Amino acid sequence: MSGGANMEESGREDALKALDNLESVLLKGRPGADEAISDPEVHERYEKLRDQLKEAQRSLRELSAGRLSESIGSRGYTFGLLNNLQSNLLHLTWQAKQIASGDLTQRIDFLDEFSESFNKMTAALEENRRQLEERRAELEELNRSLKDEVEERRRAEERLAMANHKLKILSSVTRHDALNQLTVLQGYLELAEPMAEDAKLRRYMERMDVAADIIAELIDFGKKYEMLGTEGERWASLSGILAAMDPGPQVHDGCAGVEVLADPLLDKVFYNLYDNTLRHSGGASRVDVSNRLDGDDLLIVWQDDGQGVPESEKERIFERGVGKNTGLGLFLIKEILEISGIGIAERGTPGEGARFEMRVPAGRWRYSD
Amino acid sequence: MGSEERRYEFSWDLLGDLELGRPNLGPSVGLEVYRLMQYSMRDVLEQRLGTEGADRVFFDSGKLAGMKLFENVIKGCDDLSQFVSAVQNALKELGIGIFRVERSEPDMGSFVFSVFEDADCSGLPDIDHTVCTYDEGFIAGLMEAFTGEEYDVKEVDCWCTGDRTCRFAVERV
Repeated sequence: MSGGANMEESGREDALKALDNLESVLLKGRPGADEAISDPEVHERYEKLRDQLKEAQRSLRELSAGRLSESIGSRGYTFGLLNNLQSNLLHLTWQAKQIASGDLTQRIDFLDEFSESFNKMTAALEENRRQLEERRAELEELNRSLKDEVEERRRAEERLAMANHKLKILSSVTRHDALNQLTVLQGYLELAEPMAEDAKLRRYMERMDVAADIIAELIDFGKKYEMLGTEGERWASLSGILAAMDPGPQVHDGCAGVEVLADPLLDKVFYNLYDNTLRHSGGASRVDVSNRLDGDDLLIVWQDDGQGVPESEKERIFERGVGKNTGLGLFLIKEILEISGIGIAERGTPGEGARFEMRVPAGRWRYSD
Repeated sequence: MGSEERRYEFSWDLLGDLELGRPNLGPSVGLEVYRLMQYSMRDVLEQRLGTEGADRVFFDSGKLAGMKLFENVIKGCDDLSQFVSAVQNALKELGIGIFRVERSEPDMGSFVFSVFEDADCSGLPDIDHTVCTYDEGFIAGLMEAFTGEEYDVKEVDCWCTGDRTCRFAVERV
């Protein structure tokens, strides 16, 4: 082999070795074991290429790991592309920060599918926020309306309380004055009674006396009705109430230990039932007050042995103004019970006595020890 | 020179009525024409004023252009986001470049902006030094008009230095 041929062969070997090593750097990230290239110029160019390739790989490794602040270490087309990539990633990072801080106006141009997806995402986020803000504005408006309504209601309640207060004072003063005048009237009637010799006049005076009693009862009703629901509820013993009944038909207490949570006027209920028996039973001699469970409710039964309530009147006896006296006794009973959630109905058999059943819901009755 | 003696003090009106003046050719001119004008002017300026002097003229011209563009096109921006969006849109619409923010620290007055496909340099041969002096001034003008404060702008990477992206370090003076 001639000297020229030897040199050509040696140059070919150097070139192949350089290419093998560059391929190794490209594929494995490092050169092969043998980097000994005899030609100094080829060796220098090989080393420059190897180092640039390794630098490009280093930059790619940094970028792929999200470390964006490292500068791209060289220039030229390939490094320019890396520079572009770094710049875009930095810009996207900045935009992500802007979005995180609430700026949804960010858009990206000229990054193909990424731009489309990103812009759709920010547009959707912006639309969602717009809708949320709309909803928030609606809720704020609603809240304002509610506040106005509450305030208006508060003012109305204040006006109502004021009117109520005035009515109470008026009612109290009027009741007091009327009772005084009634007492005067009844006193004069009593004084005049012995002087009335004329039978017709005496009959008139008796009627006047009855009318005065009814007026007194009406005034008392007004007082009681005004108090209804104003003093809260309390537990009351039925036996305690029944024991205080006036003499008259014998009341048999079958409610020992029963307590009912109701308006403090509950005793008036039983007083009025007793009064009703006295006035309208046609001579009842006995009243039985009993209780029994009906599901979770407690039924309290007022049963007398009088003439009972005719079928035609059962529905109406609790209405205001219906009745032979003031027409307010049973009405007041119903009102007092209703305010505590207790129902009442007359379920007696005409001719066999009146039977008032009061249904006390669970939680409003108990048996005391 | 007193202002009364000047002929060409800049005014937005000097851009003229583009629709009226160019009913057939329209408002756009080829990018090569823009570069022909810029680099021929730069040649003459460099011959007359030296490289630094020419760069100074370009920077100041760019700054004036940035301030006027802000006043006439971008206008009121309440915050940095609005400003960036408005600059991005304006530069895209006018074909100047694709403007992006790489880093912003408004409290420190420190930013890094990049411009892709820059009208001044993209596609130029590698010449181993940055050339976008006009852009430096342009960005400085935009920032000053937006913030009311003076900014120093330095191009750190350029297409012409083989970086394929123009990157500008922006610092409050």
